[in-house]
Amino acid sequence: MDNYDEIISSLYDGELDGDSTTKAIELFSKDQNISKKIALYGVISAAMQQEHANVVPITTNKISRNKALWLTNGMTAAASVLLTVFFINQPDFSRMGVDRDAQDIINLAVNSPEAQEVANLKEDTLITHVLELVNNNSNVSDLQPVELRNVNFNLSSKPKRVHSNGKHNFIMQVEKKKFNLNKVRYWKHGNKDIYLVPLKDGRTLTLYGNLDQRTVQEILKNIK
Amino acid sequence: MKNNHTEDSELIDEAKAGNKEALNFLMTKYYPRVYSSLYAYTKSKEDSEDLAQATFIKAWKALETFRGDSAFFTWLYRIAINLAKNHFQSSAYKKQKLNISEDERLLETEDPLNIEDELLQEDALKSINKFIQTLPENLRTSFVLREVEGKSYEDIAKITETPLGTVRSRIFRARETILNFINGDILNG
Repeated sequence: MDNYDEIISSLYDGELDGDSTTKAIELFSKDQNISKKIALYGVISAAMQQEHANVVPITTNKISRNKALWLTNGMTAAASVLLTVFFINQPDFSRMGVDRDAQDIINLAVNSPEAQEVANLKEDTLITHVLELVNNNSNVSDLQPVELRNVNFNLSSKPKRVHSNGKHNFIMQVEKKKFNLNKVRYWKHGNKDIYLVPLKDGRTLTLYGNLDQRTVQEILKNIK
Repeated sequence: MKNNHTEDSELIDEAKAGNKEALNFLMTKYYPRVYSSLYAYTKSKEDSEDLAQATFIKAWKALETFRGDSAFFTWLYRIAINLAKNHFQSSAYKKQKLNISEDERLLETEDPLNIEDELLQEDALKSINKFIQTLPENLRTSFVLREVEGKSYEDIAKITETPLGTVRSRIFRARETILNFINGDILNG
């Protein structure tokens, strides 16, 4: 089969073997006209399948809502006295970078139950935790009060405990589940940030709100 | 040449291995179908473009999880329609556009011909379908078996009792004939 265009037609149909596919892709990448031809092949397929479109039901496995991610008040009371921020391999806080891959997954996942399913397959517990926080934060229980007045944060109690200095607002929680973090990780969701901070005892502190890194650093120094 | 119908598995394997051209090929191949499916659902060019883009970004991210249990387009179609459903269910969608990283921008389909404007409208699709009915019988049979029935070249060869190479050639010639019609009668008509 020497016909250049015929090879592309066969590639379009998935009828080339591995070596031939690789060679055809090389041709494809070098010739813009082929790209246009492939796009037109797609239009023809769309035309032919328009009347044969078969809507496939979407099956979604929503993230379980009954996971006991959050500590009970009694447990948080005990946890609060053990809050010790633990940085392993990350003494320099300025090196903390947004966790872009995971953030991309979350950005997608918050828009789609199916993507949540996909996200579950990626970094199971960690991303599930962040999704729970983003999607369901009104139902979570807060950490027992932690005094942050010396970094200018007051604690409101209604409708839930929110630390605020007028400019920044956030909630703070300690997770029972161990995420085996060895450095601070953070994500952005809209205008809010989610920080997961490893604690010395292996648990994880979560900060969720409109926080910049400098503010988080001040807060963590205060509870260290 | 292989003797069995494996859909896009070679391309998907290449894409999974990091071959961006293979991924681009798949996106170029399926963009019109994804777009037209979304357009039928949303009746909005802008929304269909946004959702098609989101579909491919999502598919790219999730490609590792594609196990080949269904055809690749079926998988894409599920993602696209699911996104479209969410689009209607959540007004937050419009407020919260997907953040697209630099890498992802590289993967956006370039809208090769702005084809959707002219070709993916219902009238144009009907015209193409109508023209396909006028193809010579031997071309049309092989082509319809391939495009509508999803038969492999090998299966088509058995069904039509013709050599595999002939099937390959007929399908290619059918496409070329239709492309000539599109270029002559629709795009320049």
